[in-house]
Amino acid sequence: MYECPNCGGNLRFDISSQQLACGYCNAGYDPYEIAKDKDAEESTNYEVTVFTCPQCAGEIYSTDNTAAGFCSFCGASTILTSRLRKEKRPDFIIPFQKTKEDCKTEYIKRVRRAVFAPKELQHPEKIDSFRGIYMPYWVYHFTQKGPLHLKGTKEHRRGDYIIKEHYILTGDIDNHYKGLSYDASSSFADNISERIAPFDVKNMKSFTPSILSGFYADIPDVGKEIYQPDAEKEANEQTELYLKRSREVSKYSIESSGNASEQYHTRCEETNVAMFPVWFMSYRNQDRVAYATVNGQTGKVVADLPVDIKKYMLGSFILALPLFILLNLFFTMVPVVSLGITAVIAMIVTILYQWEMKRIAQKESYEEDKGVQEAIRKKRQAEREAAAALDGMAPYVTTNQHIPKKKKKKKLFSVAMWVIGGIVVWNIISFLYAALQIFGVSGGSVIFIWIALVVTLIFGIKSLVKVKNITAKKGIPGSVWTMSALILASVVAFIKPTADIYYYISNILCLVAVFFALLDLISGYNILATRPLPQFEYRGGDDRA
Amino acid sequence: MRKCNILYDRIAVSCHWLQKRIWGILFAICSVCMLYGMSIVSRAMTLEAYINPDTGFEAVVEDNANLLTGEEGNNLLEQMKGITEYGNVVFHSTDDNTSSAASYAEYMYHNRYGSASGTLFLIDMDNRMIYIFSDGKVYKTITKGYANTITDNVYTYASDSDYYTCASKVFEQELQLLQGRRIAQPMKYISNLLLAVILALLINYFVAQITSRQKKPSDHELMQGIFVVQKLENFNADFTHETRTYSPQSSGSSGGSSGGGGGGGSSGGGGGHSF
Repeated sequence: MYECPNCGGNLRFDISSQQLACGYCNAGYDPYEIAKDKDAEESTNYEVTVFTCPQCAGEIYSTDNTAAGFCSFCGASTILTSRLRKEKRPDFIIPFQKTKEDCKTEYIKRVRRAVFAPKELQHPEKIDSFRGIYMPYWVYHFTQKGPLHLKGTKEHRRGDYIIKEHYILTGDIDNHYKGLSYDASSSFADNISERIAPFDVKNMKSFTPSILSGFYADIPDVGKEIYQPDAEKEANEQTELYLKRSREVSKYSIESSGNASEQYHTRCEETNVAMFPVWFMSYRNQDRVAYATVNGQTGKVVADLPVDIKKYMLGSFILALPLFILLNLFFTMVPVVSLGITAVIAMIVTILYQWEMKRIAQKESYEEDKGVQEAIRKKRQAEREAAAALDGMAPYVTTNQHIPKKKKKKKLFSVAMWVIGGIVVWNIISFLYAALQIFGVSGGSVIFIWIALVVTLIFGIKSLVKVKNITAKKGIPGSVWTMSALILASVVAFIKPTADIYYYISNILCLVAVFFALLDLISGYNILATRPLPQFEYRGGDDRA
Repeated sequence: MRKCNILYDRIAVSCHWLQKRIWGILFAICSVCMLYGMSIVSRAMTLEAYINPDTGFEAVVEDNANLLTGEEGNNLLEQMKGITEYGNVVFHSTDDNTSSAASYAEYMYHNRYGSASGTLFLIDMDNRMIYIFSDGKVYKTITKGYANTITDNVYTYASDSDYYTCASKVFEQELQLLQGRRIAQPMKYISNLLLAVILALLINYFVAQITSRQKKPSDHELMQGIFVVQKLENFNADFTHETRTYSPQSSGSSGGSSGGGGGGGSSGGGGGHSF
């Protein structure tokens, strides 16, 4: 706690004045002046109060020793236990620029756009639980200095020939990228930290503990080497972009050659720990938790926005009314066509379901969160070391090799897949149109049903393979409903009964099956939009293996 | 010699017997054909017609499949007279159709009335289909959708071989529509309601996805927040060699425009149901 030199009251960092303010005598002080008195004894470490949640074991710390009444990570309302600890002093800090009121305003604006978000997310008491937390970030400084040696080409046409001229492009580059930042806390999910960026590091200040007063901070527990390759890649990509746009080089097509870091002499000059301001709120619903974060510097909001099933159903029934009127006014469908449309909808739902299950499986395996992967690796390593110590054997060392690296050509592959997908979809539409022309509406609908059956079975089975490995998924998978619906529809289409009642009954059954599949799709969406309750058996991280 | 004569006589008797038999068979065949021909004639004869003196539109009952009794034909014609206020009206049945019910109905109507306003109800025993074809002003009311609805409402009578009630209900519902009244479409409403609910759920799923989407900052935004210095000095481009690829240029003229638009095509349309 920082005491007011004037009255001995508690000093807290005041965002609007950017000074330490006393709540009793209203005096204001420069944080660096106060820090000098308090923290001069030790330059690399400083004393903090560490608060630990008794439920999830999540830890945050502060220079203020006021007992925290709830946990930001699991949302539990509980008195956090506290103890003093020496922490390594970060290098830089961006003080909060946005007040809690600013944060609330931005958050409400964002949540109002999410029409199906639970109303609890807008409850004043809930919104008031936003807590200012400084998140640790690794800040990398990369340089690229040295001779440039590239191969380039120029093309032009001469008669019936295309002439390609080959060049060696040389020059001297002198590039600096200072401030490429990646979060250094495994409890701060990468998918939040990526989206809440950017922080303007040009406004970073050197760290002083007094700025933390009145706020909390998360502890850096992810090694700097984890995100260094990402930062290096970013620097290389920016240089490539710069060269392509530069007046001299833009005349040539650059031929890519092997290692960009060697080509541009990319070096990491310096890595610092900096604390970036984030307003943080957690919303707990049974065994899931959703986080809402607001960039404390820019006010940018990133929030997990689950869907309130009641709101969703009500909204859907309201929307169904004009759709029903439109369908009655403009369409009269014979029963087989109606069944065909239901089959196509069931197919679309199955494709969406498979895509959703794939994303949930990715999220549960932390494929895209390097920080959590690192925390898990550390935990396993510690367990092995402990086991080896008991057995009297040397522990074997794990490396980061299991962390999946982003595929180099992922983007190109993705573009190619979109193009191929577009061509395939276009061909399917052309084929279906031709089928409608040749076989008429009823015959065409039967073909639709058969195609939908094949596609649904492929995607449905793929989704079941994914669902098997998803722990958060309960109940009958949505794709089982849609596959059953399609099988029923195709049996009816095959038998071709004369009486309409068979089509109507099967159509109604299919629609009911699609309804259940859609409900499961929404529950899957809620799994994606929330997180399992954290269990911090090891330091940091939100979801423990 | 005598033996030869006896043999000759026997052969002659046999031939005479055979001759008589052949004539008999031929006579029988001819009789059957004549009877069949007479039946065709009699079916063709089951044509009842009425011309509305005010509008000039016709009502015709053409029961080629002989599905109606004479009395039923007359009753149906009486009922059809109301539709002649709006256009021609035809009841047509057939048990010999090599094409589809839709094209047969269209051909029969256009062959008789061209594109004049009217409606034709076909019972196609060959394809086991009932079909309503309409054209002109009547088609604006008895649209494809309504044709489907009406045939959906009445196909069960055809399935029960109650062709008169089937046709009677068709013309009754057509007249209701032409007079501006409504016809019952219960199943349509039930399936449309469920379809609307499912579509709404699906649309709202996409709405939830879109409204909760949170974009990653662009590279440009990220670079604006960091210290960036980019310099390229002493740039030089040294030519090394050239490669050439044969790529003939296409000749100037392209094929010109493809054929013009199609002809007017047939007007009208309809819908039907198997039974």
